[in-house]
Amino acid sequence: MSTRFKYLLLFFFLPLFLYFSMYTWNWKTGYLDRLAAMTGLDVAGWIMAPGRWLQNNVDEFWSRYVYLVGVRQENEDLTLRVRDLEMELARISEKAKSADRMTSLLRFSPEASWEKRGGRVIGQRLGPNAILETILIDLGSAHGIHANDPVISPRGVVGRIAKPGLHFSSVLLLSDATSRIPVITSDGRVPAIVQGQGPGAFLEVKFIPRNDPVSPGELLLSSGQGGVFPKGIPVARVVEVTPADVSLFQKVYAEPLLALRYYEELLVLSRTDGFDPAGPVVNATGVGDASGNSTTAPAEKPAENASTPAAPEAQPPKATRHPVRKRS
Amino acid sequence: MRLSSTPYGQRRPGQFPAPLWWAGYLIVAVWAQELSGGLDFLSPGLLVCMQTGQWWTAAWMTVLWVLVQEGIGNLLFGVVILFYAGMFAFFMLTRWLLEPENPLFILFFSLVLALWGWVALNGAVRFQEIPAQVHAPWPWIAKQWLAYVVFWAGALAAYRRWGGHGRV
Repeated sequence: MSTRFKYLLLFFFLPLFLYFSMYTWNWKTGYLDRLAAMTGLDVAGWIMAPGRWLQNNVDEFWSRYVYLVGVRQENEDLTLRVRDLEMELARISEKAKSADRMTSLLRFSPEASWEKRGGRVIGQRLGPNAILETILIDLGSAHGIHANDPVISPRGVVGRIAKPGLHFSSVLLLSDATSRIPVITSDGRVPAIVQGQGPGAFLEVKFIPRNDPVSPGELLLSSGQGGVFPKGIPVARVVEVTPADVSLFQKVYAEPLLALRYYEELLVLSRTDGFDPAGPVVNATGVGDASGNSTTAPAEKPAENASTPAAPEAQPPKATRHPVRKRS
Repeated sequence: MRLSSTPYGQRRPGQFPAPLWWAGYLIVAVWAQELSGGLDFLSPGLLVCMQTGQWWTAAWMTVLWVLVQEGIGNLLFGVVILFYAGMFAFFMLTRWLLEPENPLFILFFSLVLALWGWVALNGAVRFQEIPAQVHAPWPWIAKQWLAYVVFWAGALAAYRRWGGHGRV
């Protein structure tokens, strides 16, 4: 064996073999991904958290004690709104009680219970490898967070936990191209799948049959199928419906109910019954596979007595066609 | 060419211990990554280490940098190892052509590193079949190149002032 061949073997083929062995082993087991999440993600989180804490406190101090323009008027408006909402709440709580009685009479299985935890967003796109639409929050495994736990805001779905670290976690936003959420339309109760199309683009609503009713302005609610998201949380609002020409399904686009990247506080929901809808998601390639949100259209329509949550505060847009950026 | 008259192994007044200095560097670099929207700012630190001949510091920093970049990233573990292996190989090759203290060295090496970063990232995204939007190549490479040069210059200047371990 010549010396040149030995060097080639030692410094090129051997490291290459070791590298691919490690890569394949990690692909199967995910140990190194978990190690990186528990260490590297936490290191970055502890670096980001004090700065964000300081920023939030300065912002809060400014808005609470210094910048008080229009507070009186806003207070009066909010008082009126609270009165309206109290009346609405009283009406809806009566309906909810009757729904509970019906459920009990018909012996439906009880709905899964969820625990809420509030968390702060402390980072956005932290490095060159953060190629998906993710944000970093200050909740992790130590707080009882698991992969695939839904992340919501008071206005609707934000995404789900993609990579839980020890004290910090990465959240996959619903606008990411690997995100798919089973939904139903609020009026027609038509099942569909909402898929992200990347930053700034509308969401694509898939698998709505050509004859099923759906119209611009209609809300899309999580259907609860797949077990990842609870049923009835607002996900998006339909902005464009194009009737099918030869396809079996309509072309429908929707927009998220909130600016996903500009939220500072979020809620993470965790199931209290210990049900795990899918295996852990530790990397991008596992996101689609282990999402627990089926990528095929649900077979049946949900029951007609399914509860419809109150619409979020945002007013429905006019039924005009919006410019839609579509990815080819 | 020696850039400092301080003998190796001696501490000057105002000089931080190496772990403390590099911890400060890590904090600044992670914030720079966040504020720049995803550019890499950790590699210039490794480059400073390699330029000053601190190979053991470069070794433990590589391990830490790999864990941080992989932890905050969305790809399968291994891309950053590949990137740093390429960086090390390019450093050896470029050093063979130019002195590490030569300004042309850093300009050429940063460009190669930015190109290699895009190739490694894009290759990993395709290999792992992720339907994500990758950065347009030339604007990203230009921004990353500029970031490497500017951050390396700042890091080296700060290192001479407050770090100063090894051959500076």
